[in-house]
Amino acid sequence: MNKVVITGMGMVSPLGLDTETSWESLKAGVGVRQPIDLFETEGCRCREGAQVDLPQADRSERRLSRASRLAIMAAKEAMRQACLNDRPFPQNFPLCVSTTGGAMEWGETFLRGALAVKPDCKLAHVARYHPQQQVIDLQHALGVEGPVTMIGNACASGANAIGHGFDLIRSELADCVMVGGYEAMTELIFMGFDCLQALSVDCCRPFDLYRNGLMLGEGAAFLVLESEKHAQTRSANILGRILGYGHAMDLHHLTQPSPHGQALITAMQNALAGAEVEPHQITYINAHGTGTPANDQAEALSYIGVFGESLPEIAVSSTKAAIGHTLGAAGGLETVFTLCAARECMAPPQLHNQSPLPEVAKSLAGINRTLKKGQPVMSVNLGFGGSNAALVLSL
Amino acid sequence: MNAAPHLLEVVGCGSVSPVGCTIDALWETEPPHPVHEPLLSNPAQFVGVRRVNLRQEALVGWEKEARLRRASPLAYFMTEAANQAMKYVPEILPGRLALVCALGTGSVIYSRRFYSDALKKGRHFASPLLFPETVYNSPVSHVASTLNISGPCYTLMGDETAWTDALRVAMVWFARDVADAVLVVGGEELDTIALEAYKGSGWIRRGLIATEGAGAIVVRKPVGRSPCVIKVDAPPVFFRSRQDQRNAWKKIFTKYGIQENLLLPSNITPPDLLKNIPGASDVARLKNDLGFAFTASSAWAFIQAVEYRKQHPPFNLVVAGANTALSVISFV
Repeated sequence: MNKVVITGMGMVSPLGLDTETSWESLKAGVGVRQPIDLFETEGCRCREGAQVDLPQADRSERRLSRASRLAIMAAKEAMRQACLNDRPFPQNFPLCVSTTGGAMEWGETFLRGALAVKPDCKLAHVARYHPQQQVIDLQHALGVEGPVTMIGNACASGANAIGHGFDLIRSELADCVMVGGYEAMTELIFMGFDCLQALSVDCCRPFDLYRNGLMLGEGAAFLVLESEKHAQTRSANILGRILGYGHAMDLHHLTQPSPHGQALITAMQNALAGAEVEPHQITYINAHGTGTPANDQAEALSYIGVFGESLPEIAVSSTKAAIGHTLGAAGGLETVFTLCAARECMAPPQLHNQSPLPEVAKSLAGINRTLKKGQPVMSVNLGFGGSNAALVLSL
Repeated sequence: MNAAPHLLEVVGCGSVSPVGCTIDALWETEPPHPVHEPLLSNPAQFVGVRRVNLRQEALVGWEKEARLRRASPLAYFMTEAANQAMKYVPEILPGRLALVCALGTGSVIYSRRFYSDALKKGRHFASPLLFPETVYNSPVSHVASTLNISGPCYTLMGDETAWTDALRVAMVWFARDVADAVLVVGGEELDTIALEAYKGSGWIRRGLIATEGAGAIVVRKPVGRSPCVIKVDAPPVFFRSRQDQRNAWKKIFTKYGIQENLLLPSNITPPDLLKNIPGASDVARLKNDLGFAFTASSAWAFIQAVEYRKQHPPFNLVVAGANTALSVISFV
């Protein structure tokens, strides 16, 4: 079986338009919460979130959706870092990509037009609203071709996309794969979470006793994965490794995890077993930690179920308190942050937590919480519909 | 890269379509005449569609399932098709049956209703009951829960070629030994907003009839001499413009040859696409054109090809995406 290495990472987040800017702000404990101005929010309980401050679109980008622009920026950074952008590409360069909304804003525009009896004016938009169209935008921008796997497993999609790329290389079906996800904030999705009363009206407090909801965010993150042999052959700089991937289905409820997080336990155990890593060896977990009552309680219990007495020694934080819940992009963004944490032996701090859940109270990372050098780290995600995924990574 | 072929054996099939809730109907029953439905933007203008009869017994029977009570028709189509396919599956250990579903527009009925209701009534009246059902993987979650499938589960998005992507996912899962069998489902439900888009694309003017339903198969690693084995190792050919699309077809015809070993689905979008491509009319085509339904169409074509293989030598089935790519599945 091939060993899987990471040779490129790129991200666009509400904290910055590249990985290092975003990471430095995250480490410093910067949070981004602002009034939404991408669309009208009048009538919603919550009117704030974490938007990306995208620069004005240049001429070549004017026909692109916001989702495509986010994805292309992040993917290009990953390609540059992997030193793949100035090389002839293999004709068969697989992409594993995640999103939940695609270019939903264009679907919304089309529907508004249809209801107003003038649909034809936005036809070009609806034709490119489907998620597969952003992938074609991405392929054009990067100049690549190959099989595409577009995963829509709700909020676990990003981890699934990375895991699927890992599986492709591990099983020797590919040598080099681009993986990641993107999400642009849109009115339909914002209204949806708002009407579920899942959005916090004041502050997202993951793993806090008084947590009252999530903050919606947007962004994109991509990674270049290669077999170790492929990376060594072209003398690529190895940034990290994926050691294991686990995923499991929770059949409990459409929108709520089973109270004890059994599927997440299975996903984490499978990832650890595949990585041949013992639970106590993990030094940091980038938690899903949405800040909703049901998610965080189940997630905390699942950590006890997997890590037991070693949990207090493991640093845990949810970066959603800083950048918001980026849905289809979450797995990608959080995996990149997890690798940055391993690189600097420094956990991103858990923001907005005054009264921690007892199960994870000793684990939640404060400012400057150091990690054990050279030890593996983990990133986990859960999603609507019961998707659960975990990745074990190392330098 | 490992060049060894990763073969899949097809062990079960299921279908829900306008011709009924059996796979035999796909080749035994003539498609019904289209019914005419009004456009959202112009209720005085009608377009022909083929609907699945939601009141037939096979679908109504699922109404008693708690998870399906509020679900959209798509979840019913997929659950019924999946259930049919699973009847052929030998006993599998819990957690070793995986599920991968390929969707085009997903739960488009509820997405349209959720958003248009909020636009009409105001954002504070947005429905918390509808929103969870709009998420892409909701119908897939309902299938898994109703049929108690606890193994790996992915929802894939795309045009017709997402069906091929789903088969490729199954191949990867077998290579990683995370499942003993994989249920692959394609499904589509028809909504007025989708009709609006098809009309705007010019597809309806060019002969497209929109339809809905689902198809499902169960695959596993081949065991002994298998009657139906496939492989999906050829990379897809992508296109964006209409000209690219025609060139993609020409590439496929050049690569695979137009005679004997190539099989086309019964419906290609837009329907007149191949009219002026040299040699296209000589290629064998599946019969019984039910209409356009993204991955459901792919599933029906695939199931018809499984039957076709019983009387024909090995061939390559083209999966013709409407707006991104062409892919090929080899029946070996």
